[in-house]
Amino acid sequence: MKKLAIAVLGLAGVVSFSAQAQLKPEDAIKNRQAAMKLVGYNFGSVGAMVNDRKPYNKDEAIRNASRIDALSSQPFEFFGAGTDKGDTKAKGGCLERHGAKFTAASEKFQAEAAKLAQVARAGDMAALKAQFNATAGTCKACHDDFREK
Amino acid sequence: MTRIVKVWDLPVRLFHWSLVLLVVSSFVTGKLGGTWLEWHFRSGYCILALLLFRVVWGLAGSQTARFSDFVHGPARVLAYSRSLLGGRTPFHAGHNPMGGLMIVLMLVLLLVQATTGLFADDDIAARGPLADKAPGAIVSLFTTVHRININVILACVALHICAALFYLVVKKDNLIGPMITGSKPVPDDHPAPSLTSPARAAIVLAAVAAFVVWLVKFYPR
Repeated sequence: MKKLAIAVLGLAGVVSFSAQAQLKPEDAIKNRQAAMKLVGYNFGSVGAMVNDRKPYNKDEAIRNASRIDALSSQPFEFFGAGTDKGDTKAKGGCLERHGAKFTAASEKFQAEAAKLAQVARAGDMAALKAQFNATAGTCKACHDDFREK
Repeated sequence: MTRIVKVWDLPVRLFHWSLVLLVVSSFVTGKLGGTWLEWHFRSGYCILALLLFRVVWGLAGSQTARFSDFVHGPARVLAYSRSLLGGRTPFHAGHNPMGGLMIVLMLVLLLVQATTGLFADDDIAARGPLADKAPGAIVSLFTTVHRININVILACVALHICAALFYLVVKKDNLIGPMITGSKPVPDDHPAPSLTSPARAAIVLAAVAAFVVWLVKFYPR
């Protein structure tokens, strides 16, 4: 089942990647913002739990973290040429000018997001809090460098 | 001839040094991010309460704490700044005209910082307690102001420290010591400022603290 899911996700990735060529920049921007929004919604929920702003619920934490993990690579498929202009705070030429650095920053986030999902399943609150911090750090690092204030 | 006179009441001195600690803690926790932002929020609430207290104390506090004692027109500020370089600087028991200008500037900048922080959203997992009460455009604008204004505050802090050191080293006038002890040598022909009871300050502080708690904990519900 898991293998099948990975295969489907992989295929979806290939399809969306090849489909991106025809995507209009404004649609690419909308797509990555939508993905970021959902990541943010789920991450905010984990944040509220580890910060005691809402009661800890293991199942909800697992659901949130798994979604973040699943979505973590999505936004970065939509940073192609021309997508730095329009209704976006992304700094000019994220990919073109800072390709390697930008990609490395996005991969760090994806790695921490995967770990977040793992830690959430283990159900240890202290570990989840630590991993929330590690993940938030990768969000912040990228926002600091590649996002207009 | 001079004599030692108490020029700063306890509330002003406590305000000053708590603000120093809280601005540092707010800056550090803001940069650390993640779960440190919970402390960033708390630190900001304390700053907001302190600022509101200081505004009230500037209207109804001790003589040297009052805005009417240290807020002057541009002509007076300019004349004073010229006298600084000229050598003979007029004596002020409380804040001098340029210091007064810095206080107003700092209060305004910090009030802007604390207020915009209440509405800010870092787009990661932290949201100011009033962000849900405002339209998205306001949240976005205030977040940007919050991020940029900190640099203006840092510049003012640097200028403020440099000015204190300039008085200490060049003018041989220690402004830092009196802000700790409250007392300094005052020429005989200058009357001692009248100081208000700290009990009144405690009542003011309790009132503004209650308001801030209501604003960030109860009002958003």
